[in-house]
Amino acid sequence: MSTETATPSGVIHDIGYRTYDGERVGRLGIVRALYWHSLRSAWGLGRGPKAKIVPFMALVIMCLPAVANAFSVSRTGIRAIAYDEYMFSFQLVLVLYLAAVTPELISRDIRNRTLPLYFSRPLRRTDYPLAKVSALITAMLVLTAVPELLLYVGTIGSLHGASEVWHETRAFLPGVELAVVYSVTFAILAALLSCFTGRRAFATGAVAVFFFGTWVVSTAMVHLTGFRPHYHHDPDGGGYFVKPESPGLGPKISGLLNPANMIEGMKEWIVGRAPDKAEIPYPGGFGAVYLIVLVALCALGLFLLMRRYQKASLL
Amino acid sequence: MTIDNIPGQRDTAAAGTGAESGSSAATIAPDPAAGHGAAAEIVLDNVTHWYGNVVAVNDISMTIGPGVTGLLGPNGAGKSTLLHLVSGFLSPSRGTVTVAGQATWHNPGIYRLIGLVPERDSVYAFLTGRQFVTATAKLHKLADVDTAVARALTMVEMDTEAADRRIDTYSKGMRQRIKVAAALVHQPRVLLLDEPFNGMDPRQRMHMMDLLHRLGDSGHTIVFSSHILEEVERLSGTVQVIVSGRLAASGDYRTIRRLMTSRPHVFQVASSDDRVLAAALIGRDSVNGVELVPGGGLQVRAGDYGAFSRELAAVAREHGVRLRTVLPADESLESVFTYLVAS
Amino acid sequence: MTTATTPTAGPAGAAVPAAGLAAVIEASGLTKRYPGTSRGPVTALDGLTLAVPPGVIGLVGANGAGKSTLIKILLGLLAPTSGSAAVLGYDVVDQAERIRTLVGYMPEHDCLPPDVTATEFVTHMGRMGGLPPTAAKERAAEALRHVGLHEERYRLTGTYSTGMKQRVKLAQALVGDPRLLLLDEPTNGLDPAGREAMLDLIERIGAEFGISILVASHLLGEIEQICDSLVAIDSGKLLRAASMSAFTKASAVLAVEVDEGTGQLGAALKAAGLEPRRDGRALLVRLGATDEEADRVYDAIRDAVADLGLPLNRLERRRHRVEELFADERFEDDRFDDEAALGAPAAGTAFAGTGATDIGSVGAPVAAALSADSLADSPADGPAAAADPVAAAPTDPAAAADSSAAADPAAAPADPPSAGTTAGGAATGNESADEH
Repeated sequence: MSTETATPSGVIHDIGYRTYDGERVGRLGIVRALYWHSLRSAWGLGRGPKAKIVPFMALVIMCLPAVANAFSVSRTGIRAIAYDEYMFSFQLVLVLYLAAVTPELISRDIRNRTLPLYFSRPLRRTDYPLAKVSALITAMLVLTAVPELLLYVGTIGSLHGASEVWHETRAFLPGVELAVVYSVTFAILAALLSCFTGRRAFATGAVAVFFFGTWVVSTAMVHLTGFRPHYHHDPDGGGYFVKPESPGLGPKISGLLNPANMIEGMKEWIVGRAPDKAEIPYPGGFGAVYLIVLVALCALGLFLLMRRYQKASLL
Repeated sequence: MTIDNIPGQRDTAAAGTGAESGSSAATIAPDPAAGHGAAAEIVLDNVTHWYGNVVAVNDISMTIGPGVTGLLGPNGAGKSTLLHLVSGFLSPSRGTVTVAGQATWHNPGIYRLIGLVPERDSVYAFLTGRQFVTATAKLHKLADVDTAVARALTMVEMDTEAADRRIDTYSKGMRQRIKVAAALVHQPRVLLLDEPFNGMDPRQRMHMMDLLHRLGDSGHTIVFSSHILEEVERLSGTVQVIVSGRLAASGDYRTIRRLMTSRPHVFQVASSDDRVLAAALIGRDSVNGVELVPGGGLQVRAGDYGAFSRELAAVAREHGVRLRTVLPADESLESVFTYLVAS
Repeated sequence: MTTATTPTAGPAGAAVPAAGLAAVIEASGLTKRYPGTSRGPVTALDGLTLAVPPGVIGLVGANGAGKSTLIKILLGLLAPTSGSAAVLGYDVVDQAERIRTLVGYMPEHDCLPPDVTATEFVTHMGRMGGLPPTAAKERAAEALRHVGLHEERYRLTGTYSTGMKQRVKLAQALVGDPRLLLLDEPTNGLDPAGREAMLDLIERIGAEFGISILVASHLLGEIEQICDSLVAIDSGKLLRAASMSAFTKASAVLAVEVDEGTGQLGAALKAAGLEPRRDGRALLVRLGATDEEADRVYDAIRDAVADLGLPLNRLERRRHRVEELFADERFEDDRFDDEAALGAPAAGTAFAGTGATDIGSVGAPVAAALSADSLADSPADGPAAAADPVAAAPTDPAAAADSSAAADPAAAPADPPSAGTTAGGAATGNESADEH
């Protein structure tokens, strides 16, 4: 009664070691994989729920003014914040985000001594920091550009007519440019500060202290040296305070002491707008120096970062 | 050349255990090990130590006399706790620990008797080796510090320029040796070492073994813990095996093996005619099983070790078989240890 | 004979193509110096020349920088100061990236982030080795299964025992299907059970997975247990490179152990015309020169034990041990010195036999023999290098005469052209010198 097809059959499959003859992505592919992995880590993706708290809190806080602005513009027509002041006003959030995320991206592999495993793979020594810093810059871009975009979208929703939208877009683009500059500068500096220690707390501290500390010092010195009224002695013995027409060299140099102030100063120089806020340095023609110093600072930061990963001590 | 004089006898450093007797020096827990020497003997009497709810050492009684004794056990079995109890760093939660008749806990005088080589690297990485040993010598308030330091450095063969280099430039093996020098600087009668061979290269291992041998032979009581059973086997046939805080066995490991009568002894035998020998052996009461090994040789499981070992040669002769190899396959310290941990 | 990569290679060497599969690791005059800070330059590797056939290869050496420096050079992470090296036929300087796709590395130290699962970690490291996402996932699961991690692989590695961590470290080296694994102290920190499991695993990877493995370890017993060949480095110089069987050759000394009555047995053997010598628990007896003589010795022992009714515990030919390489004068008395030379054929020939079977699977017997040959024919700059199997063995020409001719046929019947070589003879003499 058994048919041919019912013949019992059995097979033992080989589940032993298999060699791999499939595709390998090569060095660039690996760098790309490391970049994506790091970018996801920077937003706490692929990690526990706790790792997502700080990044997303930061994003929410960054976006709040933009949302508030949308309401404000639609109800009263008053804008809450300008595109090109956004980053400067909320640099506290940017720094906190970096202080939390950079050690995770950079110091963690030093602390766990995972770097030798990366270097024993086809990556080159500079590929690793390049992928990491690119991921950090991208993560920062999300944090800086999304609020700008929300601000823009929220505003044009209440505008009427193409010319108003065009005008708004003209104001929006420098904001995005500024977001890029902030992201690149802050990310490079934070990565550099984190790559010398395996201790997450030290790296967090270094990032926070560097950005806040220099900002406090720089801003205080701008205040102290710029537009400081000096006492004018009258020949008859009397006198009065006068505010100078333009600041001296003091505030110009003081502005170079902090990355955010440097970027703001450079912006003021490029835009050519007189300072209406005392804490923002207005470098005037000195602004070219700001641009040069800023570019040099980023280049130096990148260079030092790359050199750090050439060191044999990390193996 | 005489046979009975035993020059440089090595593998049976089992203090007090004649290789000939192969007898009662070993016991399986819970009985304490036998043997009562006069010198600095370490005696643990029903010692228990717990950290909170964790019982690290559980009702251990043992006596360790002069010579070299290996302290064995899986990770976390309580070896380090035991060494710290003996060195007086920890108080027994129950029971007593004495060295040369003196309690170790709350007894600063004990430090004159004991040298401890901890597993962890010393924190004095910024000192030179010589400074580190000198500091230890001063702590012991030795009369002639320089001589003592020089002697200790010579003992561990660190009396070179290396002694004046900072410890953080040392290799692992050098760190171990400088720790031994520090532990030896006051010439203690008891030396306790926690994983002393860790990180040493082959030559350093041999030197350290040689040093421990010499110390053991000269009447010191040496106790060391180790994971490398092969080394324990060579350095000392005498072991104390701790499993989950309990003393599982103590004494000469071969004797311990003989006491495991429930496990047949496995022998590898090679002969001029394996099949004939196999047939002859399977007829014997002492043999539980014989297997022909592909590629030559026999594997014999002997239920009665004593009877088998006495009759093997005779059986072979009776059947005209020439014995080429007789190897106890599961008598190594490793097998003994595996059996003890498994049971 | 020299290796194919040696610049001065003769015509014989040239017969092997440079990228031939015969040798997984080749080095020629490999030297690495570190610029010294306070104590002048440090030479970590000094003129290393070797060619190692596939299989499980042991790397032993004095502490220092030699061992880890060699591994870093082989991975192309450090550039040699001079000389050259090739891994799987690829040059470590010019083709480092290619090498690193084909080599898996397991460092000595802890290298696992505690806050990820083993699966995540091994998958990520697989991607870092160039596997596409899906392949990385699949191979990570496989690699973890092969190293014996099952349900635990979904737990954070921070919760793992040392043994499990070592397995994850091995899995991440294995995930990219390497042709060669570099394992640095793989049993470090493991207890006896964990150690045994790791050694089994390495043996299995070598035998079943067909992956060559370089195992760096300080534990010579381990190396003897699992390795097919051995490279020994001392002070940056090659001490010796040869197949394991050449290091652990059986000697012509027979060890007999009885549980009691060793003295009686000794006397009986003496009466039977043998010259037993006591070594610890054992009695050492020299096997005769010929098979017949050897058989007479075997019979004499059997009969003496049977007559006396003694419990026979052990009867075996003593083997050489890797450790002998590192023994210095102070330890000479530990050894039965003459064992050193027994059955020592010219090193090259001995190797051809074992080497050819080692790499027979490659199907290039000529290359195999050459590479094996060159392996044994290690450079003369190693202290007491090549031909003598035990580098440190003292030689005593005066005493050589009587026993040298005798030694070999019995000792190493498998090695054809071995008898009476000078190396064998010279060291053989030491027994008589030692008997007092």
